[in-house]
Amino acid sequence: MYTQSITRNHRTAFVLLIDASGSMSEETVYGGRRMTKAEAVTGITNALLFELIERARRDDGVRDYYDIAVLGYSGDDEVCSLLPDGRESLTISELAACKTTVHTEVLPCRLPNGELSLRELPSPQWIVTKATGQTPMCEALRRARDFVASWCANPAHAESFPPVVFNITDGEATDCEDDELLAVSDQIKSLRTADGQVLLINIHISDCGDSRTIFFPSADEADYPNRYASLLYECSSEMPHAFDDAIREAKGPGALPPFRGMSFNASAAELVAMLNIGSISIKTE
Amino acid sequence: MTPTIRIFTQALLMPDLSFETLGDARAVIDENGLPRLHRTTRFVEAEIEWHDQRYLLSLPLNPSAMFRIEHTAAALRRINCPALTEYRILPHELHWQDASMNLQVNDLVLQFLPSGGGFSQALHTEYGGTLLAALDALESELKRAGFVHRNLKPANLIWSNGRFYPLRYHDALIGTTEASDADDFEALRQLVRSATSCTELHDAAIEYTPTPRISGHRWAGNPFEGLICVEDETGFGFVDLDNRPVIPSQFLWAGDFHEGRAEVQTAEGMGLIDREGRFVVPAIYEIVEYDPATSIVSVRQNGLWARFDYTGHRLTEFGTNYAPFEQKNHPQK
Repeated sequence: MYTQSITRNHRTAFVLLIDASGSMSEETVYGGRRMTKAEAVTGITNALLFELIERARRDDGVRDYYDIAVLGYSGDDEVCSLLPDGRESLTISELAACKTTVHTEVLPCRLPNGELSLRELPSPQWIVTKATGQTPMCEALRRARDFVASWCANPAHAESFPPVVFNITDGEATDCEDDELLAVSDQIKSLRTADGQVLLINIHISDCGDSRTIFFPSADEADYPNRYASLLYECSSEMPHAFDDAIREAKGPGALPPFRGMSFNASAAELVAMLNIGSISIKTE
Repeated sequence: MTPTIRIFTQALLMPDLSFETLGDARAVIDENGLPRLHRTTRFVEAEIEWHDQRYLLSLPLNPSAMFRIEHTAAALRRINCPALTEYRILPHELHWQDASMNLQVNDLVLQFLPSGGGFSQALHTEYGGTLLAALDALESELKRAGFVHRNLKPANLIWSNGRFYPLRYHDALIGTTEASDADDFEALRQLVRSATSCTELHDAAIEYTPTPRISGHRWAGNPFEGLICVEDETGFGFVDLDNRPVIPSQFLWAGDFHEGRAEVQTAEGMGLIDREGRFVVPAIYEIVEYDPATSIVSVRQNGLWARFDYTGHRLTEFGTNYAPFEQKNHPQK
């Protein structure tokens, strides 16, 4: 289980759910910098898209190892695709071919003498998120469930590595009760291919006062500062044992499974790198 | 912890803050100001310029990727094969900060990139017979060295000065008879034949000038820093590009020159010579390994290692059981 090589004949899917509600205009500290949560989410999303494109790049171009869907949720219970032209999904090569804006990112860097220095680096952007209105997270999860169900039902994907759903949020759903959120999350997690069940990974962006980073927490690490984070923990997939070694390699040998598919202030690209999703193929086509 | 490709990208854009020895390297960048990246199955790589040479710098995408190539990188230091370019692990080379702002360190892989063009480019500029002969020569050289690349394809070959150099030794095996590149070579020959079939019809009528070669020796290597390692009846030595003797053929073995230094083996032991053939480190040691990137010479005597500088002065006492580069890779020992 969870061992299928990701190839053009056995591609997988990544679904990103982006919280673009009004609360995302609050400030947080992410990557050592103070910014709005929306800016953090934009950074996390584009970093993941960059990571996926580059993981799919070979000498003959970007290969279609992944299908990508990006849904934003905000406003008056609005859930819409954030991909170019509003398309429901794109292959990774289609996304790579889309015109991007390259903005300048200012990174704090530690100099050899210990002082902090700011460096400006180019950073491509495919997605820009805003921060307005409510948080229809439940509806976004339903849309993701329907997309993933359809994707898994496609016979071409029957043997594939199962889709991974990233939900990037500050955790405050406004369109449902907790049990509804848990129910739709369970529905997503129950979907599967022959290689395993769909993984639902929640990335929680904290309030400004808490800049600590936690990824793939075990039960004893789940002391979250608010009930939204605790709920997201419950909604997240328990990570399959196939990833235990990779997670322990990243967290340290003292970490004990089972781990949850959740992070607190960590980027999706880091989680993908830790799991080495997209690079588990030993064979190349 | 495994860094993301994005972290690698950022490191390439600020090498002074990110690399241990490649702080003054420059990445080849695209029109957006981003490094040009290339993926293989287990690595992501970028082309860099460092000290007026080109290299491929590779980041492993999972920890096991490095374990697989450690043997190859070590064995290549002992192989005298002109078709193989420098390929080595840079321990603890990449420094980066994770999301918690903790410092993380990772090994990278560096491979020398001969100046030249790709296989496809060679198909357009060279005669089919030339390319087929070059493939034959490469196959013979790799066989003689006991080197099986296991992923020979157009993207992993570079055409330079009338010969092919294989790149990316990440899947290579050395000293095995259980694997072979024969099928890959045949596929490459097929590509040459199909791409140059029109030229082939006229080859017989064209005056064919073979690439000038160093002759009169049992074996001759490639030019490095203007000197070519040769093997004669009396041993290994060096000639210049016009085949004039520079350092007499007197050694049991000799490596290529890098930064003005070459490792040599005599009956008394290993040593290090300069371009005039003078011993910088006398040939009395069990192992002498010179790292041109740091100008440090690791020397073993009676099983214990010490470090010497570029001029042959000993920097540390003989006192460890592992070479400095091995210590970095195996701190638990």
